[in-house]
Amino acid sequence: MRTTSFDYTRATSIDEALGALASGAQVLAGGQSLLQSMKLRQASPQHLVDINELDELRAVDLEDGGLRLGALTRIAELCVIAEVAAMFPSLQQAAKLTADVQVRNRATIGGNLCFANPRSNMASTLISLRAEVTVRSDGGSRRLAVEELFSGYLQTVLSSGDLLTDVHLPDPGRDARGAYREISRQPNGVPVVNVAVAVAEGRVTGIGVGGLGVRPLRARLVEEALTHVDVNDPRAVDEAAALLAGDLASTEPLSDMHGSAEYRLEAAVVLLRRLVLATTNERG
Amino acid sequence: MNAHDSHSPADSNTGPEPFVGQSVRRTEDLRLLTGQGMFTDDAVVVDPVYCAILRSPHAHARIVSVDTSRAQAMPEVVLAISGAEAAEHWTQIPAGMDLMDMKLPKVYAIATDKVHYEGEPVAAVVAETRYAAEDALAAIDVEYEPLPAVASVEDALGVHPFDAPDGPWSPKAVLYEEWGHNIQCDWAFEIGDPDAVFASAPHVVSCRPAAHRYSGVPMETRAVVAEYDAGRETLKMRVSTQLPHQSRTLIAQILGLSEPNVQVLADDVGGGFGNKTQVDAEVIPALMAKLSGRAVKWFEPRGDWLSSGPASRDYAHHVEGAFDNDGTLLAIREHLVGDEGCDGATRSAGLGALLVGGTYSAGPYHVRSYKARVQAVVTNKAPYGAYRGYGKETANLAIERLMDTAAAKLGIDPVAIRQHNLVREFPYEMAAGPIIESGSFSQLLDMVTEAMDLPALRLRQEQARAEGRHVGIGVISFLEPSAGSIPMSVFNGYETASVRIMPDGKAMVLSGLQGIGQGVETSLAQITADRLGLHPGDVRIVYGDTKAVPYGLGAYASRGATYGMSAVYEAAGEVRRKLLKAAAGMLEVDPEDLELGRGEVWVAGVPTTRLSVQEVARAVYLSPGPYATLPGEESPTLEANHVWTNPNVSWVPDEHGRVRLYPTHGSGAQGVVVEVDVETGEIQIEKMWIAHDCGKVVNPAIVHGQIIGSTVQGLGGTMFEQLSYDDQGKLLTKTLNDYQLPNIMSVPPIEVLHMETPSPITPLGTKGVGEGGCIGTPAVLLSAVEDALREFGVTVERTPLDPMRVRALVRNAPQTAPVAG
Ligand SMILES: Cc1cc2nc3c(=O)[nH]c(=O)nc-3n(C[C@H](O)[C@H](O)[C@H](O)COP(=O)(O)OP(=O)(O)OC[C@H]3O[C@@H](n4cnc5c(N)ncnc54)[C@H](O)[C@@H]3O)c2cc1C
Repeated sequence: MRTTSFDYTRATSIDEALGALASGAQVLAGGQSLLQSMKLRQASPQHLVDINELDELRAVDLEDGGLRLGALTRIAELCVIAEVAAMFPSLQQAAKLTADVQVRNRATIGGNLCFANPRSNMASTLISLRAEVTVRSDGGSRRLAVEELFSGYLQTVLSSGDLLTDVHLPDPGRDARGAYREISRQPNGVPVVNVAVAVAEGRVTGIGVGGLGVRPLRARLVEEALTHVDVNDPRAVDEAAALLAGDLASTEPLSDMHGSAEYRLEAAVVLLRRLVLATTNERG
Repeated sequence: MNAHDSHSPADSNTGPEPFVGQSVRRTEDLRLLTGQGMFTDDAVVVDPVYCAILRSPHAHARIVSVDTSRAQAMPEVVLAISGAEAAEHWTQIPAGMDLMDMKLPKVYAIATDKVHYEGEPVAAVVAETRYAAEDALAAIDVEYEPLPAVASVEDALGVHPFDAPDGPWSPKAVLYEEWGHNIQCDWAFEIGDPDAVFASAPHVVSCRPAAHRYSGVPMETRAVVAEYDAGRETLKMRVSTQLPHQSRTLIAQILGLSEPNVQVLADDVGGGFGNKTQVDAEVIPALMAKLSGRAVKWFEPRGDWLSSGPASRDYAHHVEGAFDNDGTLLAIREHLVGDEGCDGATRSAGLGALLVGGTYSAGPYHVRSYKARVQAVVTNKAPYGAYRGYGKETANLAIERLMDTAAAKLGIDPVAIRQHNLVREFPYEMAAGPIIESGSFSQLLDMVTEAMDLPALRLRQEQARAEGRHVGIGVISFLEPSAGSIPMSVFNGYETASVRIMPDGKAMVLSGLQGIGQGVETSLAQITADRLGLHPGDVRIVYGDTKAVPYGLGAYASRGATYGMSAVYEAAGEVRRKLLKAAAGMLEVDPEDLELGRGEVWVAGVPTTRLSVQEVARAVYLSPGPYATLPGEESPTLEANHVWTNPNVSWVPDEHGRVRLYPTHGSGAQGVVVEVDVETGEIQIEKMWIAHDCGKVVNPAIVHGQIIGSTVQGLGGTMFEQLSYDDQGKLLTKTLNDYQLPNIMSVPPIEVLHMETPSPITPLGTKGVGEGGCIGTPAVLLSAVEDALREFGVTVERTPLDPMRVRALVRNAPQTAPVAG
C-alpha cells in the first residue's frame, strides 16, 4: 500500500525540529514503525519532520558514571558500542535480539521507545536499568523515567510538540550485571514476553517486563520482595517472581493470538525466576 | 536401487556424458540474481493507470449500496466501478473444477449483492498513480447490512460433524442461500468391509489431528498488467500465474472475448506454491483496461494477499486404525472436515486437497480395508486454495500420528511398526485406488534412522531426561503423490511440448509448463540437450506465452517431472529421429550407425566422418532443403509436437467410488530432534533429516533446493505461520509481523539423503518433486514434540506448535512430571 500525501521537512537543527513539531508535525526517525503504519494507512500524518540529520541526537557520552545515548542511536549501534557492552550487557543482548539487521540499521532507540510497543526489547531493558529520557519541546526540557513514558497500548505521555532527545543510563553500580531474555515466535521476531533484570553487588536493582501488560512494566513488587529474600534460594525467588501478577494490576493485561494473558504471565514469571537466579549467582 | 543401476533410456542415447543427472547450474539464476528478472510489475507499458481494489471490512454482509461518485470525481481518478456496474460487463467466475457433485457459488469477481469474507472485492478504481488510486478507495461509500458471521465449522453447521456426521444442521447463517446449507462437498467411499474388520480387530486406536489455517506467501503477490486494444478487440495481459493457458481460457470467457484474441504472458513468477492457480481478482484489472482504454497495472498489497489470497489447511481429522497384535495395520476409517472459508472450487481450488487427504491416508503403508468421509464446509473466511502439500500432508499427519499412537499402545518401537507395515512390492494398488508404481520405502526409513544414529540419540535423550530436559525424537515416512490430474477441472492430465532444432543448430522448446522458480528452464534444457546431442546452453526453453506455446496446463501438483519432462523427452526423441535420418542420408550410412553428442553427429567408430548438428539443420531447412534431406517424411523439418498423457490416471469412479488422480509417487522418510522447554513451551529444533526418492533425478541441485524449500515451508506452517480469525470472521494477521514466516535463524540444519527408484511409467524414470518437505514435516515435528513430552502422557495432534499451545499441553497434562529449576 501507499501512504496518503504529507509534507516533509528535513530538520537541520533541534530548534527547527521543535518549531515544526509545535506546529503539528510528527517526528520521523528510523521510520521502521512509522512508515509501516503510514503505508497501512493506520496513521496519516499531514507533516513529517525528519530528524536524521541532527548530529546532536547521535551522542554517546559517559555521564555521571553512566551513559548518555542520543535518541538517534541506532539499535545496530547498541550491538557494537564498547561502553554498552561493558557497562550494560543486557542492553546489548536486547539490541541483538531486536528485529533483523536491516531494521536494526535504521531503527533508533528513541523511535523504539516513542512507538511504545509493550513488547519492545528496549523498553523493558531500559526500565530495568532505571534509565531516564530527556524530552524537549518549544517550552523547554524535562526528564522522566522510562517507565513513566508509557501511558497505554502504543501510547506515550508525550504530547505532539515533544522531542525525545536523550536516553540516560545511570551508573550501573558495583559488580553490575544484567540480562535480557525473551520468548518470541522466532529469533529476531517481536517478543511475546520479555524480561530484563539488572543486578549490582549480587542484589537485584531493577526489573523490566514487556509483553505482559498493554504497556511495558517495572516489576516493583518483585524488586521489593527480592530485597528481603535469599536470591540463591530458587523457591524464594520463585515466590517473589510470582508477585509479578500484582505488578500487572497497575495496567491492563495484554492478550492476543501469540499469547493469552494467562500464558504471558506464566512465562514471564518463569523467565524472571531464571534470570534472577542466573544473574545474582553468576560470579566473574 | 540407486542412480547407477537404474535404467534410463537417455543414458544410452546421449553418448558418454549425459547432462541429465548433473547439477547443471540454473540458467535462470543469473538474470534473477542480477535484478534482470521480468516479473509482472516490471513490464513497461505506455501511459499506465493503477488499479486498487476496495475490499469488504465485514466477513458476511449484504451490500445495500455502493456509491462511487465521490471517487469518480477525484482529479486523478480515471474510473471507479462497483460490483453491480461491473456485472454488466462480465460473467460470474467459472468454476475451476466441477466434479463429485460439488456445489459451486455463483459469484462475480467484484461482489454484487453480498460479501462472504473480509477482503472480498466490492469496488475498484484506476487512477493516474497508485497513491491516487488508494486515496480514491476512501471516497467510495458502501452501505452494508451485516449478517451473522460464520467463523467456524460449528457456526456453519450448528454441530461438529464428528458428533453428528449427517446433521441435522442448524447453521448460524447460510453463505449461499440457494444451497440451503454450508457444505460444498460431501464425499464418501469404502472398500474391504472396514466396519467388520474394526469389529473383530484386536486393537483399535484413534486420533484427531488438526491443522490451523496457513498458506503460501509468495514474494510477488498477485499482479496483472493489462492492455486492451479496442480496434483489434485484443487483450494482452501479464499475470503472475501458474496457469497461463487456463487463465486465458477463463479470462476470455469472463470478459466475453474470443480466446485467440487474448494473450497471457507470465515470464518470471515470484513464487507460486499452488497459490496462483485460479482466476479471481486477476480479472478486475483486465476489465478496467477494457473499460478505461488505458494500460492497467495492478499489484496486490501484502495485506490483501493475506486477507483474500487462497488459504489452506484448516481442518479437523478423525482417524481410526484397526491393528493386529503384531502391529499389522488392518483397516483405516477416517472422517475429514475442512473449513474451506467461503469457497474451494470456484474462486480457488482448495477443495481437491480435502479429497486427496481422504484418499491417501494409508500413506506408504499396506492396508486393504479403508473407509473415508470428507466434508468440505464453507465459512466466512477467505477462499480455500491450493498450497504445496495439497492434502498429502493431511493424509500424512493422519497415518503417522496413528502409527505413533498404535506403537505406544501396542508397546512396539515406532520405527519397527512402520517398517512392519510399509509397502514393499510394486506396482501396488492402494485400497483407496491409486497405483503406487514403484518405491523403496523401507530403505528410505533405514537411511534416515542410520543417518540420525537413532540408538545414540535415544541414549542422549535418556541422559537429558535425567537432567530434567525434554528431548524428543521423531521419525516418519511419507508418500509424495505427484502430477495430480483432476478430471472436470483446469487441472487436467496432459502436457504439451513442441521441440525444434533451428537452422543454426540450436534448439527451441515450447513447453506448456510454467516456470515459477522451480528451474524448468534448466532441467528441460538438460533433457533436450541429451536427446539432441547439444549443450543445455544451446537449448532455449519458452513457456508462459499463450501466443507462442501450444495449449498446456502449467505448473501445479509437482507435475513437471512427470508430464512436462516426458512431453519434452518424447517430442525431442522425434526430432532426434529426423536429425539422425537426415544426417545418415548426408553421410550415406544407416541412422543406426550414427552417434550424437556435443553438437555433432558421427559414424560410430569413425569419428572423422562427422557433421555438426548445425550443418544438418541448415541442410534440412534451407540448403538443399527437406526434399533432399528428409525424403518421404510426413513432417520434414526438425520439429515435433508431443502431448504426454499416461495410463495410471483414471477419473471414472469405479464401483467403490474411487478415482486415480496421481500417476507418480515419490516418497521419503524424515527425522528430527527437538528439545521442549516445558515451562515456557518453547521448542528448539536441533536438526532434521530427510531421505527422499523422486525417481530419476534430472538435476540434483534443483531437487535438493526443492526438498529444503518445502521442508522450511512445512516447518514454518507447523510452527509459526498462521492466518488467524476472531469469532466474527475478522482476520487478526494482516501483516507479516503477525503472520510469521520462518526466518533463516529458525531453520535448523537439514541433512538431505537421496535415493533413486525410477518410475516405470515415465520415459526417464522421473517422478514429481517439490512437496515432500511440506508433506512430512508437520508429522515429524508433532511426533517429536509428543516424544519429548512422553512423561506427561499428552497427545500432540494439533498445530501450530507455538509456545503458548505447547505450554498449555503440559499445563493440562494428565500426568505432571517433576520440573527442574
Ligand atoms: C520487521 C521488524 C521487526 C521488529 N522486531 C522488533 C523486536 O524484535 N523488538 C523490538 O523491540 N522492536 C522490533 N521492531 C520495532 C522496531 O524496533 C521499531 O520499529 C523501531 O525501533 C522504531 O524506531 P524508528 O527510529 O524506526 O522510529 P520511527 O518509526 O521513525 O518512529 C516511531 C514513532 O516514534 C516517534 N518518534 C521517533 N523518534 C522520536 C523522538 N526522538 N521523539 C519523539 N517521537 C519520536 C515517531 O513519530 C513515531 O510515532 C521491529 C520492526 C520491524 C519492522
